[in-house]
Amino acid sequence: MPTESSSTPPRLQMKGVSKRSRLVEKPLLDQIHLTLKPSEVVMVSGRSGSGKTLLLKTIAMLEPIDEGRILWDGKSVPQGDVPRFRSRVMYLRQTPSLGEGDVMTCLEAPFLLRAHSNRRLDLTRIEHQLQDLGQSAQFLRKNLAELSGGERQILQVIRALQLAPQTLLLDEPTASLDHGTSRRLESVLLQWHSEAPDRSLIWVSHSSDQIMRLLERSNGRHGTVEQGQFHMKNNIGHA
Amino acid sequence: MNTSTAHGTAQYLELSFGQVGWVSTLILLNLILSIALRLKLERSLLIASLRMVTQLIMIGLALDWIFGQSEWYWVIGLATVMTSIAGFTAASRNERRYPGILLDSLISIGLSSWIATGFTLVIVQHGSSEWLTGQFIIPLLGMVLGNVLNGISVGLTTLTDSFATQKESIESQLALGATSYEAAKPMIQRALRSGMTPMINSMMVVGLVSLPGMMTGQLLSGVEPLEAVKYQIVIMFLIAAATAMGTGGIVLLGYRRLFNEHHQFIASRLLSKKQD
Repeated sequence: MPTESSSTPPRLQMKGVSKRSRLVEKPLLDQIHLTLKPSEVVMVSGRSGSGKTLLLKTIAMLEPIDEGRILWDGKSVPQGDVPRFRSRVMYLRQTPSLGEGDVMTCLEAPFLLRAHSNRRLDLTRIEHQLQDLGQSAQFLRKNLAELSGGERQILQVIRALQLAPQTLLLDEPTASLDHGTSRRLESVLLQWHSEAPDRSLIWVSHSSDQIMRLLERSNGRHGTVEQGQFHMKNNIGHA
Repeated sequence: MNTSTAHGTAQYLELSFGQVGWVSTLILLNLILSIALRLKLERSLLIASLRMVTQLIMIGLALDWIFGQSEWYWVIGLATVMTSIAGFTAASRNERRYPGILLDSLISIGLSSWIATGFTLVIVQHGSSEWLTGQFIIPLLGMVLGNVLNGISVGLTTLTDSFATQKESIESQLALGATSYEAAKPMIQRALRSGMTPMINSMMVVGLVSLPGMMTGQLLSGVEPLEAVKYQIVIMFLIAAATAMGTGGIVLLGYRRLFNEHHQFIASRLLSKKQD
């Protein structure tokens, strides 16, 4: 592992973050320490129910925590800044929630939010990405109700990339995709990551093949979630 | 009581208890229907009839006494009791609960009804203190409370239902960078619309489909139709304003309880009554 440089703070830091539930005695998140550098890729694996999704939501500050701190560029996020934080550190659900109407409406809707009011939809870029993902421009006119699970995941990624995030928190983004489309989406996301030096990813995946592949291509790190605890692995698969 | 009418032309007919007794046998029709078709409603019908009669006689006696008191605190006391019952009812009718729902309900129903009724009384009284007596305040407030109660109840149900069923949509909006208000806005709007719709509907058809209860009462007691209509118009606007305030209040208060200052949606605060 490279040594921590003291000049630039990590993009994200979790320091002893815990979350408890009134219903079960064991904490849902147990003293989590996690560091993400500004251009890093961290792949996360773990069994179902281990807390992977909760971990991502907590990083995005969507979940209240009972203990610990979450730092963004070395500082905690003031209350009023949370929406802006989320527009930069964007969590993508495993089962996307896209609203009603057609695909174009869904892509346009976030620009009505205050956090994105200074941005514009970039149709050329969308069309390129659709092409890279094996979809025609027809896709934009489809009704959301007609989309398959895989198409919904694609749309969610395209929608997020339009909003110029710095960090993506991906919750099994290829879970509903066939192998070929899965590989294409991986490429689109890795290309996005490599286009600028300040882009980072935390990517939850169930597939060990995918994890190996992406670690190799992005020179990333691998962590696991087990019973609410997070552990970084030491360069597995690279030796 | 022998009430003389305002204009003296029409006449007020007093009912004897015997007459009331005869009319009450109409409930037998309901009982016969229930027994014949095995609806098993007999018990509920009897209890409801008894409650209706007892509650009305009790409020009649209470009003008789209150109207005779010149101290303001008796009127305020009764008004407070009525408001609290309305607030409890609106909160407890709701299928879903959250911590603070009762207080929110009391605040919204209390503030909206008292402000609207107070405003109307102040406008209408122009100088004469005659209006500021129990005889005017209590019936007006009662009518307003009954209507605001419905608005609040519908608004609250719509709000909590859509929050519970659209958790994912709210969370997804927040994840895109929405503020808590931006994420909750569709649900807030829906709740306000559904809370205010019954009141708008009733303004649409009033006089066409039915004569409102108060106007009927005034006509029966001999008030001239146009005088009764003037009263009714005042009441309708009073109710409309109070319903808007009450529904707006409960919806915004409820929204604030279910989001925190970090723009987080605390879905776990919403509990279903059955689970709890």
